[in-house]
Amino acid sequence: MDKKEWGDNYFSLFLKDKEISEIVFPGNFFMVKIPYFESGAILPRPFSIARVFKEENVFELFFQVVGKGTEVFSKLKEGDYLEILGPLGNKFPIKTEKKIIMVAGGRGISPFLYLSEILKREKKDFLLIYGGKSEKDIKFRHYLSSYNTLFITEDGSYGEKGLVTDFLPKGAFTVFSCGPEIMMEKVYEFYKKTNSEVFVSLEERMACGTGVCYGCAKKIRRGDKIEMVRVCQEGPVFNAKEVVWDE
Amino acid sequence: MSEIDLTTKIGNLALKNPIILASGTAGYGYELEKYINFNEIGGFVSKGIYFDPRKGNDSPRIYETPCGMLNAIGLQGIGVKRFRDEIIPFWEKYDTVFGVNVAGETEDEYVKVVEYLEREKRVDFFEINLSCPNVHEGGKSPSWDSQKTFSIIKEIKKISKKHIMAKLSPNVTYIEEIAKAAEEAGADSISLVNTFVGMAVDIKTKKPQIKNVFGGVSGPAIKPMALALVFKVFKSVKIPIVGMGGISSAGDILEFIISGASAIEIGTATIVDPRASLKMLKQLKDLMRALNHKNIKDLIGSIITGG
Repeated sequence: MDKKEWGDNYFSLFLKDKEISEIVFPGNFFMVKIPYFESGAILPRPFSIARVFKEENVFELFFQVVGKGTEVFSKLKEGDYLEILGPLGNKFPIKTEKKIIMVAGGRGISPFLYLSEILKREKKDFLLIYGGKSEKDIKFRHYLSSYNTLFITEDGSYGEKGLVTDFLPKGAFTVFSCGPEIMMEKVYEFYKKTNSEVFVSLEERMACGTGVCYGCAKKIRRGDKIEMVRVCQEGPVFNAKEVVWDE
Repeated sequence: MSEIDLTTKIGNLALKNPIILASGTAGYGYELEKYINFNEIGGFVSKGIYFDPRKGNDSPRIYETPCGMLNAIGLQGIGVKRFRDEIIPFWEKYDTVFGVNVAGETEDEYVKVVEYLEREKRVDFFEINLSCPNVHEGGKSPSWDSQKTFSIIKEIKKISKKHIMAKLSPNVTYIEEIAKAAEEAGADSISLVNTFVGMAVDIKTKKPQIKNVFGGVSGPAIKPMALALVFKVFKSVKIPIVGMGGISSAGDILEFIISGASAIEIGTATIVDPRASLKMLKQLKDLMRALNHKNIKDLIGSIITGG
């Protein structure tokens, strides 16, 4: 394992595994085991795939320290070993004729880093809209400069000033979103009456990642019923029109 | 090197080893198929099953607490019909003791679930969930009351020839009384403990961390309390005991067995790592060897107190 500290409590972990680097796809996530229990944290933590460096068989997990678990990971040292489970979960559905719009808020940028690379390779038309509170929350600037990215900060300290939802282009697109739930809901509201389809990567507290505990359930519309659906098994990517946006 | 004998018995149930996967932490089984070979484990208990499908509680359903977790899933489940049609056939291909965790909102519902599944040959035993803290009104569970415990087990025994295991709640004053009531009603064994009632609050929003407000605490944090309750019950009944509560190493397994458990269940450890049970099985053999024990049955209730 290798680590990069981005500043402002953002970190990346770089892990080496040939098979995972080959098969992992944006949307997928990993359950990363807490390597020591002195912190009192026992449950593995979910991380979505951020980038893949195929030549080196290395893949990257990007995170912000938000609690005990992420704090433990932020203190790991180069060369430490981690036990991980994955790749788990589904993928962003990129088979579309429409232009793809990706909307990321804060650490929700993760899946769109590798996805930008894939879309460019496949010569798809896309736009990435990446927003944060201030310039401190905007990372990967150099990497993203090779891709069609619109940077937005609430205080205007980097890129355009405002909210990502102020800069959504009008039209019929395939839209992917990852970030705060309120942002994803607004993205869906913006596009729901158009001919666009919106897919969101949902976050819910997760314990097992394997489907055994039913802890990460979200309300999802299935036909005329509302069911509690496990994000780890049927997600994390859902069609936004199935999501019950009331919480 | 001599073989270590890990086989054990819970009444008429013969197990390859004392490790059983606990209800609610191992799904219906198929979720774990890519991680473990069920032929290697002693037994498996399904997620709690009601007669009808259940949606379960709203999220958030879980919260991590020091060395443990809180959960209030609310027994989301597929109901007996789908259970019989989809889950029981899955278990036909595995050679391990298979139990169904039976839940109910009323005494009648427990009986109806058992009646529905009684003729299923693949079901080796019923673990009667008298103790889920997250579904009954006010968090009450039948095993808080020795009369209710007695009457539910008695009614089930009238219609079932299978092994009946009564799963008890730790949230009681005198667990010995409840255990005795289950024994008098004809329970073939007792499993304990279910989770401890707990809660946690978000100090910024002042809201409980769990939508249901109260949840059940599990994981290593509860092990000492669980062990004490297992030992208390061991001293007060003659029927075999299946012990659980925060087991996460082979040493933990031996502590429960020495304190009176004939077998043990692994719960939260499977949530932490889907292969935890098999890792502990391997550890258990090594530990038995290191301690010069050949047969795990010799250790059941071998605790030495006083003196």
